Amino acid sequence: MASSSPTVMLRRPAGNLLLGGMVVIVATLVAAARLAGIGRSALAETFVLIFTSIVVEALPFVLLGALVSAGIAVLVPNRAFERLARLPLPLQVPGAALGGLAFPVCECGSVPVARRLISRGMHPAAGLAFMLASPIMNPIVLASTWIAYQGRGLALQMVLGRAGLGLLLAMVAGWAIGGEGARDILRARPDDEHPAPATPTSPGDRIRAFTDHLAADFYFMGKFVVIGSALAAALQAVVPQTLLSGVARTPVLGALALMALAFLLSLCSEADAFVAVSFVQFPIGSQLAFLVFGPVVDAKLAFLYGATFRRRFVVKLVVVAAPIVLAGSLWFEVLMR
Amino acid sequence: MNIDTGRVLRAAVFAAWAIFFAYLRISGDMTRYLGPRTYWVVTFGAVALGGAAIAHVATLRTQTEPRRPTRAEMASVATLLIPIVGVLMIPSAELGALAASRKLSSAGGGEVGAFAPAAPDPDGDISFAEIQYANESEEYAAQAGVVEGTPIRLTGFVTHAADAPGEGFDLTRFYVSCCAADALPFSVRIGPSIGLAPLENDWLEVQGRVARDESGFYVQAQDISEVPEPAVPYLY
Repeated sequence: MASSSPTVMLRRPAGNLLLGGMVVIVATLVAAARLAGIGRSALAETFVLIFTSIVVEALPFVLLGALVSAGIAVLVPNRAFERLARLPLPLQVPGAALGGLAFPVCECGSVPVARRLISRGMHPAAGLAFMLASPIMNPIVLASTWIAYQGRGLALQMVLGRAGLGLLLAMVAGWAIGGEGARDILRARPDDEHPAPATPTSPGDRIRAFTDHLAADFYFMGKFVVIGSALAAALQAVVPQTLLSGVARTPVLGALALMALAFLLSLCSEADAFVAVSFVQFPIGSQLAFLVFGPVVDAKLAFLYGATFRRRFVVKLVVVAAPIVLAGSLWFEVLMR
Repeated sequence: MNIDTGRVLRAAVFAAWAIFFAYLRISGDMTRYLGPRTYWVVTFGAVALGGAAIAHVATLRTQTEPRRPTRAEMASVATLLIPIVGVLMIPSAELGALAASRKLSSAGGGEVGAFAPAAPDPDGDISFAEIQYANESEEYAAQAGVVEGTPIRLTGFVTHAADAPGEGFDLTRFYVSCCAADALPFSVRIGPSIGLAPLENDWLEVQGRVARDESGFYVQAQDISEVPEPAVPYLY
């Protein structure tokens, strides 16, 4: 109900009390942790450093994705999406996957954009193809792959292998998982119940609608990036990666091991090539598996997907992605020999 | 005209993150978390999150009944602030011997080594990576000038500390590409010397000469001194 009173008032004393309580609790926790010397524990230090570094690196990309998503929501008219939705699916899916070439953000940014595209009318198969392709095929990722493998004389092969297998995976997974309607694939969000005006007209309304969409996406995705990063950091701090080196020489087991490692590490796709190239005792095909599987499925993304899509999306994605990546990496190995 | 408490809350979190990013940039602490490839992310984060906070502050007032923040929104706020709270609890966290032991790329006879670049810089300094690469490839060793008797100076932290004074130990440094999550440890064996017994995670500067035995290249130390952790703890 609109208030006619010009008086500025805070409506939520209970909320303010809660907020104040939170600040006091956090301040007490910080002081207690410092006094208890928690920072002297190597495990705690390793966890906090890796956790913070993943979040610090990922959060601006989440914001970038939320900015693009808010722009799509507020600035792109409905008729543009209606025209897009009328395109035949066999054209939408590869077109959307190739669209990843023009979207230079990693996986954290592509999820909110894909969600927005699907909710605005793009076919889910095409939206998923875009979401899965852009972290693998964007120019920054392909350039970093080139630079990382240049020293081994495999730059062109790895870039083509990564882009080709990534494109194939995105299209197949999009078709296989996104065949249903948007309502069947997207999880409803609380802010969906309070949408901003669909077509804000005044500049003030537009700014307000834009910031509403931006904040909704940032908050929603951001919290799952934080939770996923905590899991990835805990795995890095606790699990010795040398457990995997025993299977390094076997192509099939090597690929599976590096796919598991990619899930565990949750690296940004713009950096993972520099890590993959150091796994010299693993076959080159296994390294490709690491580079294609990681940007599509990892610990951090599992939380993001779980919150964005309906139940069992992650399971379906793993069931589709793992065999494609495994088979593709083995064929890459065959071709490289 | 009412003030939307939900927007106040959101603006506060945006502002907290913007301040945190600005602090990382100004204090130089971003080098603890990121590599030079992604330093720009910190500047972008400070500016963009600051902009989002300002945009929220500018639209705090609403003509309609303000919507109360739900428990889920409060939980989101708390979750998003966890990393900042973590840094406040452990402000000077560093990757040390424990982190090195967890990483796949281990050095000096580890099970999985790093690949040697095809063409080392012949005029470049010899450091941790060059010694490790040299242990993998004779050709690389020759091109990089890693030969016995070469003078060398290394700064790193101790891993695989000596059991007794005078025994050898490993000196390690992390190489980072984008962030600490992709850090790879490179270690160099320091030969038995001078009766010292440095502890794990001690930062040392070692001066000596490159030597070689059946296990590969190592450094025969002539002088070892304890140093503080460098401002930039990683190599790139």
